[in-house]
Amino acid sequence: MTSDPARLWRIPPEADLRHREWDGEHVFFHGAAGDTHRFSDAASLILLRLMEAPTDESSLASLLSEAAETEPAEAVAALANILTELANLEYAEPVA
Amino acid sequence: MKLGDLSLAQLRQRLADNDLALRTGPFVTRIQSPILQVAEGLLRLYAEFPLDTGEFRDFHVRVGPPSGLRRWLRPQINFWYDDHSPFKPLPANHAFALLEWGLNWCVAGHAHHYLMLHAAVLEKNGRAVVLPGDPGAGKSTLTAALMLSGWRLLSDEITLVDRDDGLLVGLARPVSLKNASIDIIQRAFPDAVIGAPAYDTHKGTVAHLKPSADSVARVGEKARPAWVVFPRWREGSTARLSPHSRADALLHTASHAFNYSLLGGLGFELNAALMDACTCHDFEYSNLDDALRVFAELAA
Repeated sequence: MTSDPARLWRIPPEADLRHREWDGEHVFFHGAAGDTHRFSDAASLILLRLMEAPTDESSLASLLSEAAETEPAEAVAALANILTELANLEYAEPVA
Repeated sequence: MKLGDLSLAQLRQRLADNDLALRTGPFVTRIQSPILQVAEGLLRLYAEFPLDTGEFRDFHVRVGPPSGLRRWLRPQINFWYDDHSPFKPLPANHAFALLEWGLNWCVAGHAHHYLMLHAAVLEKNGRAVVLPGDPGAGKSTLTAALMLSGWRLLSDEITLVDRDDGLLVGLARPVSLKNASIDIIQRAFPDAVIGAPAYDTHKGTVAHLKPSADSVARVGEKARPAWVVFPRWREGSTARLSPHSRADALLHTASHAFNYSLLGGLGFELNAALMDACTCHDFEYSNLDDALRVFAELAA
């Protein structure tokens, strides 16, 4: 999936995500699928933001860049991988 | 009235008449069986358990010979829940073990008003330890040794988490010992009461250990979770606890639970609350005395 700074992402409404963090490790429960996953710090950061509200890719990349103290271009590339993973697992989706 | 108040003849009659309702923790099971081994096993291992006189039974089970020509060719037994038989017939001398497996199946398949984790659980000084463990990890041996050393057994197989308060609910049924662990426990605890072994089962040799009187008497007391410990028997290892991540403990217990996904978000919340309440550890051991010392220090 090519990146699009303006594209809005959200948690699928039916996902009913739940989250816990212990000692820096993040676990999420996908209510619709009944699956539990442990995600990286970066993916968890994105998910937690999306759980607050739908967010565009540009804002998500900035969030990642600030948190990881990386160059924006690097964050954009990392974000694309994260969003692809989250979309495959149906934890996140672009808003049509 | 306790089951042990019955003579063997009286017990056999009640089992034959479908007139035995056994209370094990929150569950009442009506048991029917014409098999002597079942009566002997119940009398030996469930003597302290109360018989129930109420009208409601959670489970209606039967252990007996299957019908048909096969029963005359090779003595076998089967287990029925109502009129449903979830297992294949087994050799006749597996009757008591089959009853135990059947009772586990009843709880694991139906008691969805609890979160049910595949783990042993014991309590000491008001705090409970949950022991998940892969087959062969030494969970049952450690569970038996802890119970015989004064820990209160809640369950050796199914950890019941109360959905209302997150506390752990006891069953206090016999501990299933397998293969070498039978002799290990009998040698370490000569007074332990162990039932007749069933040989050549799909788990090898299986024998059941009678729960302690204290475990049965206090089965109604829920326990507050304090530790999740993943035991691992490894020859020559020194008994020691080491930290285990809570996230991993949740993923492990969830993937080995009987009804985690079925309960949806509630299953996650209950399991997560369990981890919130506990410290999680790996525990490697090779010597029971050393293992018991480490657990005594843990509970002190």
